[in-house]
Amino acid sequence: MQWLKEHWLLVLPMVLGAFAVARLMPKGEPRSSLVARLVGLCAVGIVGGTLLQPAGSVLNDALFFLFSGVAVLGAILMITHRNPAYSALWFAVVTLAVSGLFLLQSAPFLASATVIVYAGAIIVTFLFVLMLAQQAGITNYDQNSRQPGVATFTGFVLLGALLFVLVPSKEQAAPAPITGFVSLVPKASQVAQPPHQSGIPQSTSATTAENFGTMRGLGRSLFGDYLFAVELAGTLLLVASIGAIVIAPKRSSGKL
Amino acid sequence: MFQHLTSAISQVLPEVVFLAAACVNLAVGPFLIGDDGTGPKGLRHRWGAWSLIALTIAAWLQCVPAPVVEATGLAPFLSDSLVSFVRLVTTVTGVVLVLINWNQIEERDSAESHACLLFILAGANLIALSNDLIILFLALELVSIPTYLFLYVARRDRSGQESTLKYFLLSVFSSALVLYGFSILYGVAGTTNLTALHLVFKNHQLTTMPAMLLVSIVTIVAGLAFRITAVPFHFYAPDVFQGTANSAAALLSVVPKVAGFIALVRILGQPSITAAIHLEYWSLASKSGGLLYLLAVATMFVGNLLALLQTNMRRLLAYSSIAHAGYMLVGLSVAVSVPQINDDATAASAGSVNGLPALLFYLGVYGLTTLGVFALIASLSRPERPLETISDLAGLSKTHPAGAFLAAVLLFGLTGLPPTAGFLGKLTLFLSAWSHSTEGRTLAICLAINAAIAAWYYLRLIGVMYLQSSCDDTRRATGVPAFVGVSLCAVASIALFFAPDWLWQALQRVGS
Repeated sequence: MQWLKEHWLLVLPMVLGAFAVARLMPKGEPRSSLVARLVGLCAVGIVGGTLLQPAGSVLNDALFFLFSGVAVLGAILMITHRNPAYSALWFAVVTLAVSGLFLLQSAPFLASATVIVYAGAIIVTFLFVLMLAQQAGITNYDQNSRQPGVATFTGFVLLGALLFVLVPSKEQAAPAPITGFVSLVPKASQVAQPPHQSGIPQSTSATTAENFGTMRGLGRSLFGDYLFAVELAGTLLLVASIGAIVIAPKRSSGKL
Repeated sequence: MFQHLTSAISQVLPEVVFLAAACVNLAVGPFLIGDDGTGPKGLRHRWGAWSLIALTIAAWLQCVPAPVVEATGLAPFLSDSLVSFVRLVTTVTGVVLVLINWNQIEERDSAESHACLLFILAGANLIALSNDLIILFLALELVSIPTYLFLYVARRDRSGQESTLKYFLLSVFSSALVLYGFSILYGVAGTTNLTALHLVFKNHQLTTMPAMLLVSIVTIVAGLAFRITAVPFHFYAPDVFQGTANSAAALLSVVPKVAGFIALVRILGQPSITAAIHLEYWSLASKSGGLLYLLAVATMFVGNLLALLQTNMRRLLAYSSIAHAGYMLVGLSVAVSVPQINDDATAASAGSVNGLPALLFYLGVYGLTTLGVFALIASLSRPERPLETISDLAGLSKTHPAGAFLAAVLLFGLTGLPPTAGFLGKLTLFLSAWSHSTEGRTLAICLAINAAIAAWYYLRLIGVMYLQSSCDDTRRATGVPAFVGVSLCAVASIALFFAPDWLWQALQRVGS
């Protein structure tokens, strides 16, 4: 009870959100649930309100809440829509909104790469697959979600755990040393002694302050520190594409 | 600046050999297949021999001591005694899997199938080698993506397709979980380098662990628990094993387990006992002990009790592999948690066994024996005379005496009876848990109870082979390459019982 009293601001939107999503899940005949939509919006609003920091630049905050709100609502619409083609388009909206968040975090390359790869290539592939596979119309397993209750419960328990960890309650806020994603690695500019003396290995590809976040710094890091990872990813793509060729046709009817 | 990159390549020469040989398969394979889509007779023998050559070259390169590399900067790879152990395990596993696959694969698919096997072995080695979360994840995928293809080409009928699809979907889901955990880990620590990661947590002396890390540990352990078929993430294993070919089931019973356990050891790290004396001590390892404890108990009991009910051979072996994952989780749970410090700690630690060497020893012994059993099924199974259910085993002592004897040896090994290495594996796991702490003693008792339950269904198989008579008394034909694999595994598991020291001594260095 005491715990509930302290954390009702987190528990309430979770319960409301879970109710709304479970209600909106596709099931049998189409129906419009105005109540569930309103409750869902309410839940998103409450979470947004708790995250609102009193001090901060207005423009930055406005953009952040715009992008993240669109991302959350787009994601909910994606999983609750009955038509998979619409779901794919809502997924495109989610990735575009997330790209906006990347831009706010001064990661322009990541943002543009996400737009090109996800919103461009992958969504189009999804749509092609849907068109090729569903010439007979929407199937039963698209219109009915199998276990909406269990799925919603699991998802919201995970979401609640994450929010519980990330959003500091009023009492904890003061003493807790870190309240979220904070880099524990001292930046080269912040440490008094040279990095090799602090014992923590540092990048040798010179991601110094001046080229941090630039294409030059990213390229040096990608093909310096992470060269082997890039090569390994290339090998993986080779295996996956050859695998698709091996699986796709019937060999008895052709050479492949 | 790129000096550390050029020096890193010398650490991964055996893996480069695997990848290069596999690429030769992929590049040359399509040209050897006729226009009607069938391969010439004997093509699979050539590709099998090619895989064995690649394995031999890689094994020879492993024996050549790599030059000592001074780690500068964010070193991508880490060479220690764990790596040499994993390379030994993958080499032996690879040889036996090539032998099982030899006659089982269709001529037209042989090039791709053997290439997948080589990719998988390289991936397993790279998991042990990786010193970076990104490389670790890519190596895990280098194990699982070729596995889908291997499963598919090993058996193209409906049940094969169904089990491949089941494995594919759940494996992709588990990869997503692991990646999610990795990204949280990176978000908190600010680095993907594993050495740097553990140092950051150690140096910063945070009195309490950031709660975000707990979420990341839970998702990483859950994702990797799919790989090692720990309960409650085991449910796909029996269906997949039953529906797929013997070679693919053999692969699934060993390689994902090696991959999962080594990845867990690498991420969680090890608790240092000196630091444990300070009350504020925490690490990724010490916080995950409780979770692994629960997984171990559930996995052992569920695996063994459900195995009692099975009549299909591969389904039985699937549950048996789940149960063995439980035994290994006992070792991991002991290895990651801080041992109880009491007054007679020094006296106890003198004769005690560490959890990590016990886990690794058991991993090797389990791989050897279970591969042997699958090789035996593959060797004696014929389409017109299958070895699918337990009743098919009846009268094997008459229809194939040598096979029955080797099967008995291997089943003794899985049960944990002397004179096989399985006995030593269970003994070391039991001792490591017993000498560890009060919780460890509970685990050790659970392990002993489960070993007794498991004896029931393993010994029942031996009983069926020797005491029941078959309706068809003609001699069974032998598939020669797979039978060589069986003999190799059986002889090795007996030899390891009489001379465990060379492996055990090497493993002792891993823990320290």
